[in-house]
Amino acid sequence: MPVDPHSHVPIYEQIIEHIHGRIATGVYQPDEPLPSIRALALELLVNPNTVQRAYQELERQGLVYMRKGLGVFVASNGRTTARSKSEEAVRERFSQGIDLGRSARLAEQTLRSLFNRTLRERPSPPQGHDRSSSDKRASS
Amino acid sequence: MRNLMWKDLRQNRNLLLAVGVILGVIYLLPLLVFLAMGLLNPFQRESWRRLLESLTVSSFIAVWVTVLLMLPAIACSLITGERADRTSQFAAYLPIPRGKAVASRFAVAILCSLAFLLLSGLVCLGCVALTSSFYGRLAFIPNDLLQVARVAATICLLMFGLACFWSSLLSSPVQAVLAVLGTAAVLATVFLRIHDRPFAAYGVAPVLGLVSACVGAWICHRRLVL
Amino acid sequence: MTDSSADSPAVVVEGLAKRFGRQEVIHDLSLNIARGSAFGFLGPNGAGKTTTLKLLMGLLRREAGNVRVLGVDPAVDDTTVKRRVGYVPEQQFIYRWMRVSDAIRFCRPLYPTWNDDRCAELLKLFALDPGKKVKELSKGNVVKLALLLAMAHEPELLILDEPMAGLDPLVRDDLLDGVLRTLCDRERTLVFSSHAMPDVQRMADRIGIIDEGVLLYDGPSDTLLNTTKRLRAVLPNGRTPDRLPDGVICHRVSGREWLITVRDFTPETVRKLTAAGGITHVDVIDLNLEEIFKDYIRGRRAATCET
Repeated sequence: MPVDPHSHVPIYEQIIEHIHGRIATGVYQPDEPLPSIRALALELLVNPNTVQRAYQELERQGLVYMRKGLGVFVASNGRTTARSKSEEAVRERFSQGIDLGRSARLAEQTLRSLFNRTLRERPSPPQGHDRSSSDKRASS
Repeated sequence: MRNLMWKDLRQNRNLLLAVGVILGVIYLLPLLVFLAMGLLNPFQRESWRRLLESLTVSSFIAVWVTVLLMLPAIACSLITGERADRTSQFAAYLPIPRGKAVASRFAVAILCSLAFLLLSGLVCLGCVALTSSFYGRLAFIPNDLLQVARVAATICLLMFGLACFWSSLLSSPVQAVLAVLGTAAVLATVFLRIHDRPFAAYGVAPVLGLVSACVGAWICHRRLVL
Repeated sequence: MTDSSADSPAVVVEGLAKRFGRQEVIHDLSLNIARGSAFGFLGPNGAGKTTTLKLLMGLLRREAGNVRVLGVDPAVDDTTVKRRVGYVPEQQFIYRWMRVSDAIRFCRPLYPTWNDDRCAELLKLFALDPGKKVKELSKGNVVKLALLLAMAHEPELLILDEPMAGLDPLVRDDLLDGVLRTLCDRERTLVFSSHAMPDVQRMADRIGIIDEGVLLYDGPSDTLLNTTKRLRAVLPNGRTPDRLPDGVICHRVSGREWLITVRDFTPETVRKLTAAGGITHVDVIDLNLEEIFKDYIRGRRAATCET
């Protein structure tokens, strides 16, 4: 799980996104523990406070639960929550793309055909693979 | 404190070794000259006497070299050496109380200077005693020796004080030693020009030495990075 | 440590000023760094970062203002501050004749809280040979030794002044690892200055941007990244509005394009910008830390040029 320290996305958001992906794809199953804060901080070489913030945010979203002294575990409905979170994230990216198209005065029909063409041309990853390759940022 | 003194001593190891070597060379010089010129005949009492007399002369030179040159060099190197090679910046981050750091440096400087003074003084006395044995009487009456020791001690104190003062201000031992020698030369001229009371220097010089040593220690203590 | 200062912030600076000769290098600087946070101090060369950090350690005398480090004024009792803080300066001047083991033996008795286990762990992590002399160590290994000496006494506050400058990426990773290990174990505060934005983004949860002795930004790093945006506005008639919107950090015009970097961005910002008229179109661009940093500095320098 690499983080990109050059990105404009804060690291704790990157961690949240990664863990969403891993829960959605079943890398982490319900009631299984996530890596400890210390272990993840050392693996990613990021501040432990940042990892802790990411875990707290995940708990707030209902994807994980914390057990004092035991660690952080995937919630039993974590997978469905993660899926819906992923959908939200995809929608967010799409809306950025649509905004970009609108601001360039592209017709709605063009947007639709662009979407369909992109969907066809992107190779679909093999089952269970991490889905972070679908990065499609609206930024320049 | 022992930790600090060990560091200060080790930090100036090369200088102390150099001082030892220079004194050794001064003592060995007459022997080498005698050997090179073929003047030494081990079976001739006269040639031993001449060698010992030369040795006595060089042991006197060694004492004065120690007092006038080595003592300021040791003091200046101990006080400014770390400023010159910037290791004092490392020490500045460590929780060493400034009083202790200054005390350690002064203590090592005084101890090393005393060691060399004692060494060269004893060698000098030994030479005098040995040479005297050839004449069957002491070459110097003890009163004279006492007078010489008093002059030497006075000058030592003055040189040490000046060394402390200048090295607390300057940031290189070489600069500090030159400043000490310059000041000493000026003071000597002033003292020697007071014709009517030439021995006033004995009263003024030690006081001046002590005061400038104290001022030096105070300036050092005021420094945030020694 | 359960002394009275345990609840106070790790670092409090109020109205700090410092001059070298006639040049003012720190101007009315105030900081408040909470315990347990990691503060990244950004600024171009000569901005006053090193001076500020030295003032925190009591290595310089300040002209004005208040400084408390772990509740102690370093100008009054620098030894206590130094005992509880670990400091790695930009350049290392460890006694070159010392062996690694000598350096450890020299520093150990100076700290009441020295931890031999931690020292051994770091020695192993950094792969330092205790028998080697400092003058035989590579640049990276000297920095590792300095970091070890700064962390083996379990400091409550770790101050690093551009420790990674000029080191290869592998050494940087080792150093980051060592720092993070120390940060993980107890609630410790980290204050560091750096030019390496990726390192700052990895380590800092709070960021301060300083230029010419003036603090330009001080706040959470996430807020900085999330709410600093560049707006690209199209000006059909090539004229900028008379009044700049609020929170502009830096702006420049090239042809019909107007680039404005703003802080505290909300959708409202775009609406306000277009409401004034004269602007046909606005794009919002995300910025990474490096761009944000550069825009802060450019903006300040342009502003000081104008006035």
